[in-house]
Amino acid sequence: MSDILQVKDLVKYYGAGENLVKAVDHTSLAVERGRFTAIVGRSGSGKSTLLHLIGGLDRPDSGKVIIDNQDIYALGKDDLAKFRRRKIGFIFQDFNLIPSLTVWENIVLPMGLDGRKVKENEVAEIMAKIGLTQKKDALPSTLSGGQKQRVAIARALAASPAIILADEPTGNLDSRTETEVMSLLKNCVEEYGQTLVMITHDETIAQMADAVIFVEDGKVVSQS
Amino acid sequence: MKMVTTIAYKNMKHYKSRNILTGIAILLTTLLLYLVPTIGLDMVGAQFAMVNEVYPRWHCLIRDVDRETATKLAAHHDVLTSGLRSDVGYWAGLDVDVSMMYMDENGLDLYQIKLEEGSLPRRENEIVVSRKLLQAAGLTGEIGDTIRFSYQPLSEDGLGYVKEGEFIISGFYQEQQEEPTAFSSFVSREFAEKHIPADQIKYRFLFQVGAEENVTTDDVEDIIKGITEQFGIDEEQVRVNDEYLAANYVDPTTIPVIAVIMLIIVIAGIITIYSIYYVGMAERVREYGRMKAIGATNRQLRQMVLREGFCTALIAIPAGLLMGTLLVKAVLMLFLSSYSSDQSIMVVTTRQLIKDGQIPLYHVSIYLLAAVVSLVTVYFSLRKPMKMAAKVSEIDAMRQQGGQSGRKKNKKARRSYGELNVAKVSHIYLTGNKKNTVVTVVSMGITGVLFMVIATVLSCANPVESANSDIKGQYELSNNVSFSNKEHPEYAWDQIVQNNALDEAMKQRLEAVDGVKKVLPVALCYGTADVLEGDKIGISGLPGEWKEELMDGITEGSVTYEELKTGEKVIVHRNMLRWYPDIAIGDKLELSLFDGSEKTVTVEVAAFGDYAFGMYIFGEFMMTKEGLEKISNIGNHTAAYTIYTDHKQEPALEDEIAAIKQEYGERLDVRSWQSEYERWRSAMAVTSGASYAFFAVLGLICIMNMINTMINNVHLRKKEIGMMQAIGMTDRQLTQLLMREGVFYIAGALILSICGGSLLGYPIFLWARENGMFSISRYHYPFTSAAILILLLLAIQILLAWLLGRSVKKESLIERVRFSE
Amino acid sequence: MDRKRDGKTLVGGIVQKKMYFYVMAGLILWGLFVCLGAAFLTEREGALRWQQTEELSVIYPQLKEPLHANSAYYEAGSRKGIRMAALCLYFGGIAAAGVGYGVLLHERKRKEEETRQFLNELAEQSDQLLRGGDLPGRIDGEEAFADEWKAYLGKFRQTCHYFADLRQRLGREENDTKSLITDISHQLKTPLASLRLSHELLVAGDLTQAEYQEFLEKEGQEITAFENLMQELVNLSRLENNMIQIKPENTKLKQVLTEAVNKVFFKANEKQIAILLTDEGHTDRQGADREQGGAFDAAIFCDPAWTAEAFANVLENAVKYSGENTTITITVGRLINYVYVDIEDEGIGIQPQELNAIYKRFYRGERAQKMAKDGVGVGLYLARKVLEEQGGNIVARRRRRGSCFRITLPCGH
Repeated sequence: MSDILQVKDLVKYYGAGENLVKAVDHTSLAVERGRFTAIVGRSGSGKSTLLHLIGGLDRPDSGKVIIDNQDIYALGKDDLAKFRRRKIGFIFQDFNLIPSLTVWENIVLPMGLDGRKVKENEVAEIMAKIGLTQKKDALPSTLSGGQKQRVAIARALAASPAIILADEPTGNLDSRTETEVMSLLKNCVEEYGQTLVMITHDETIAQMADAVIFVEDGKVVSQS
Repeated sequence: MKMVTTIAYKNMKHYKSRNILTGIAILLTTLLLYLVPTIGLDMVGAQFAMVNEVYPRWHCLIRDVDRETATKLAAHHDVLTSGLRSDVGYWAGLDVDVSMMYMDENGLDLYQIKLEEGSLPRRENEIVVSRKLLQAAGLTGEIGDTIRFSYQPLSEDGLGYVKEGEFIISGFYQEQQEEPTAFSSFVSREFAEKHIPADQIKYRFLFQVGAEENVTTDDVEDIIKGITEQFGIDEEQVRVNDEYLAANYVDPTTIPVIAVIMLIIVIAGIITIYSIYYVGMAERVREYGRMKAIGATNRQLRQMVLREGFCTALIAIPAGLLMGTLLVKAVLMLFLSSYSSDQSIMVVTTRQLIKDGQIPLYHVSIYLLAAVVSLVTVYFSLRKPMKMAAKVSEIDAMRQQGGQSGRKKNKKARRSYGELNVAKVSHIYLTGNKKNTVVTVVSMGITGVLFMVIATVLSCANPVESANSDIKGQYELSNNVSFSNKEHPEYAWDQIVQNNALDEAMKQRLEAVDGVKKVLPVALCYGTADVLEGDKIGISGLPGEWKEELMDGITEGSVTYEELKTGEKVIVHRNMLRWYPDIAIGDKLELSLFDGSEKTVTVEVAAFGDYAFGMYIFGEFMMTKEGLEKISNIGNHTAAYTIYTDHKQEPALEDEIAAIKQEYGERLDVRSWQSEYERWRSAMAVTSGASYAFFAVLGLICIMNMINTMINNVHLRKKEIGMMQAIGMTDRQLTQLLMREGVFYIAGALILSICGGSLLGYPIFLWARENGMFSISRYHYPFTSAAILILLLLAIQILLAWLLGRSVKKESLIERVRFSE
Repeated sequence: MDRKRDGKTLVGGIVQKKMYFYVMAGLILWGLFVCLGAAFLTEREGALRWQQTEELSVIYPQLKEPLHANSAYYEAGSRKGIRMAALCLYFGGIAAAGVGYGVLLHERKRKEEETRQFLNELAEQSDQLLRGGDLPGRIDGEEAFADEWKAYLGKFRQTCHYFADLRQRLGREENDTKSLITDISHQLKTPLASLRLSHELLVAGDLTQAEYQEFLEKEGQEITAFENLMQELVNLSRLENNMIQIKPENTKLKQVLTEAVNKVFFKANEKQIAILLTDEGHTDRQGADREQGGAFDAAIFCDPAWTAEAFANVLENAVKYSGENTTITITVGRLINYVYVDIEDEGIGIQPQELNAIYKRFYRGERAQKMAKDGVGVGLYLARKVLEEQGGNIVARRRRRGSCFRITLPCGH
């Protein structure tokens, strides 16, 4: 019962006939609370689609996704959106930030959408952790790739979600920045007691995880 | 290059929505570009055709020319054709005016008198009449028959003694008017020479100058002047046929007006089409980059954009022209039908000519013009997008964030909002994109301001009020006064006072009619003074019933009603100051009167006043009836009877007035409140209809701009919106976001329009009143127009926000988040 | 707790504010329209009438007085119209306010009732949990709760989860300890058996002097190995039992690394393995925040002794699993919040499927076992635990030849 995420027999196909792509093919898995779980697979193995389905960004053809005891696809569209902003934090590989908003505003955006009051101390603390206190009022166009991802991490953390989903967040970064970002992410996640599910094809990153799920052709092939 | 065209064509079909928008914009632009000049030209053409049908065709008429001079004139090299006319006499003892005149063939031709049957009179006792004339005179006859009537021959001394005449009808001419009030009969030259002493016979010389088609009216007038000066002919004798000239020769002022209007349309079109294309560019950057990477040259890319636009234009322009063609006839008829109450021969002829297709409605040159200008508009709109396409670098193809390189808005950091909500986010967007926002709001606002100003002027110009101020009472019967009318010297004021049709008998006759409440006489006298530079002005004696209005209208100076009764003081209408700025209060003017008494009186200018047209139509110098009687007491100086009736229209009275008119013909003028009202209504209907229609279309184009900006905003921010939805923005919040933006634009535009329009409206109203436009008198805030504007804009914005929200929601979230191509 | 009181006023307060705001706004708007409309209508009306009276009074001056009185009546009428509108507004406002207040009271009552129910449910559920039952499930109709209540519910559930987790962890720890003891005893058996054999052989006698010497030496080695093993196991168990405090402090990378290298220097020398140090300084590509000096002099925040131990473990592995005459390259560099140390060897490398397993306790890879017989398999496990505890990390990067371990440590303040 301490599985914060349960995926049951999830199916998502694209196209039809000859063009049929089985992006997610009867996949089931479970993720423990408080752990860093990596989903590993090659490009085209359907891991991105899987993550998107887990995050409620797309509707599956069949199957269930249960986060924090809530079957998310039983919710209506607006309720799902509300659920996302309260319970799920996203970190994408690219284009995480809203260009017209400053760093601070990007971080507090999910809370703002939810109508929650911003606890300034907490957010300031997170900003200090990621090392971007100076850049509080900066616009994303002035930030480097690594800085942008750090802001994305801060945003994911600030909302205190139940689970953080990351889609190859270091894919566009050079190896040193990648090290930095991954270390930061792992530490913050542990410190704040979050659960992290990350997609990656990089075995180095997968090492850092507490549990690894291998995915190929839309199916889970092994776990460890 | 064929490949490029193919690609361009396929692109056009692929990016449907944007190209449909563009297509509509081009269609509207073409439509306007076609309609405006066509209607303008057609209206003018119709008018000219009508003038040509109805008006005499001579360019100039010189009076009192003797035979010798006539011959010399005819020989002048600038004179193309010429004719002679001589007035011989008038039929006597009839209710209608029938003149007898001799005109040579050319003259008849120049006067557009066409022989229906028979031939021109040659022998002394031959005469040409019209059938209607016979009817009116109570005679019957066919060609070869003899008719008898009495007539008065005309000589230098005026009308002579009545003679009896016997004539043989040699021909019938076509009567053009439906219900003519005056007729002409034509006698032979022999008759004219026989019955008028040779040394007294005076001709009127009619001629046309030989000038080419595309000469201006001014040029023709110059030629005429040259001729008259050469022969030492006095200006007084010369009458130029202005309307006819204007109809056939180019009036230099219309062209620039049309050109300006077309320019406005073109600019509006360019702005809209350009911004529509601009939107689409950003998202196609990657596509163009890839083309470049494959190996397309800059030129090929530019051509792709251009040809895509032209492909759209190729469909839209003919569609626009087609629509315009279909609409031309309808619009023209609409314009004309607003003159519905006016049964004048002019309108009837015009309509007939259009129906018969006599007037060329469709001008090939305008088709070409509209098409070419449209294409040029499209070209100019596409220039910048073409450049943008060429500037794309190959790297942009690979970069996921394509297009950002062009938009490097190196903005410094700004203060963050502590907390965010949907409202603040939309605020950030609007302030972030200041240029776009301002341009959109301002362009919409300007259209709104213009709309409001026009609405103000038009709603102040209430035809009821205009009619009210144009005429006192419901009907007016007045004497036709004209001083230098050689044809009708009896119309001079000094003659009229001797023989005034508006006498007591007339008054009683009028009062006896059912429904007539009251008949008020307006007394008049004409005079001139040095300061008036020899111009004759009217001094009116107003009835006592108008006392209050008279006193209320005083703007400067002061005078009591009693003083105005003395005949020594007078109120001068402010308009006089425009022509004679030297008049001041307190001036004592020596007026020599033209009432036949040769008196000179001194009046003091006691005050200036501002009055409705209906009050000062008789004379700009005003005093009371009693005062005028003191000044001029010769004969009957009633200039007009203003008749007040129970209802706005009294059929019984109208019949009576018609009868009166029959009796007195041209001597009396009739005006009625109803006719003034109709006149104002139709004039305004056309102007207001035309203005509103024009601004509606222009407004449409501007609204398309707003639509485009909003679509633009959504498009460019698709990814961001997708991101926000991923983070957890609900659909309702998204709609809120879009609505807020739309509301901002609308609010900004409305504030601009209503505030600016209202503020501008008052001064413009004052200006219009000064210039007597539409006889505006009272300020009237256009509530209805303002309300319509507000509701319309709100409705559009709500609709837009809803539609945009729908289209955004339709696209799957994941497509946007993935930013795939 | 003041919870109960807070619940009433909090919920009521929010409802109150919103409703009043809307009611007031609606009223004002409505009143505006009414007034405007009335003014507009009466203006038109008045204007028309006035116009008519003007005309009439021109024609019939004797009627002017009564007509003006009439129009005064109309003016009064229009004023009356405005007065009516104002009255409507006033009374309408009172009525609306009354209705609004009634609705307010009703709402408040309802909310109170709801709050009471909710709290009762919560109490029941926590009872259930404390009695050792399952985690509390959903409460009926919880979607309908106000957002605030949902937040409280969420926190409550989190607490429950925490307890459940705790219970599980306790269970796991018990198991862990059991398995640890099993593992350790197993590990100890082997060298102990070897010693016993040696000893028995020695006791049995019947050995040559050379053989005797040999066995003695062997015993000595075994004892040393045993001692080392003991030490590692003691460290391990202490660490596992959290008896060891890792106390991070501001220290210098130079110091820690030097200590680590010293520990393995001897063994490295024996196999003719060279240890190189490369300093990449600050590697921020954007060129911002360039600091002087290389990473080697960087300040880091860690426990010097334990971190050195961690480094030493990795270095030992590098030495152990590399052939003779190879090189171990240590590269240090600065990041923004971290400092990294790459330890690269030219040894046997790591197979891809083992990348995750190598950090497991007592794991030894196939190749590793072949290469060096002794080794417990706790080096990397220890290193990872120590590093992660301090906010650092260790990852293995595969190389074509050999392995590379990247260790990150947080920068000092």
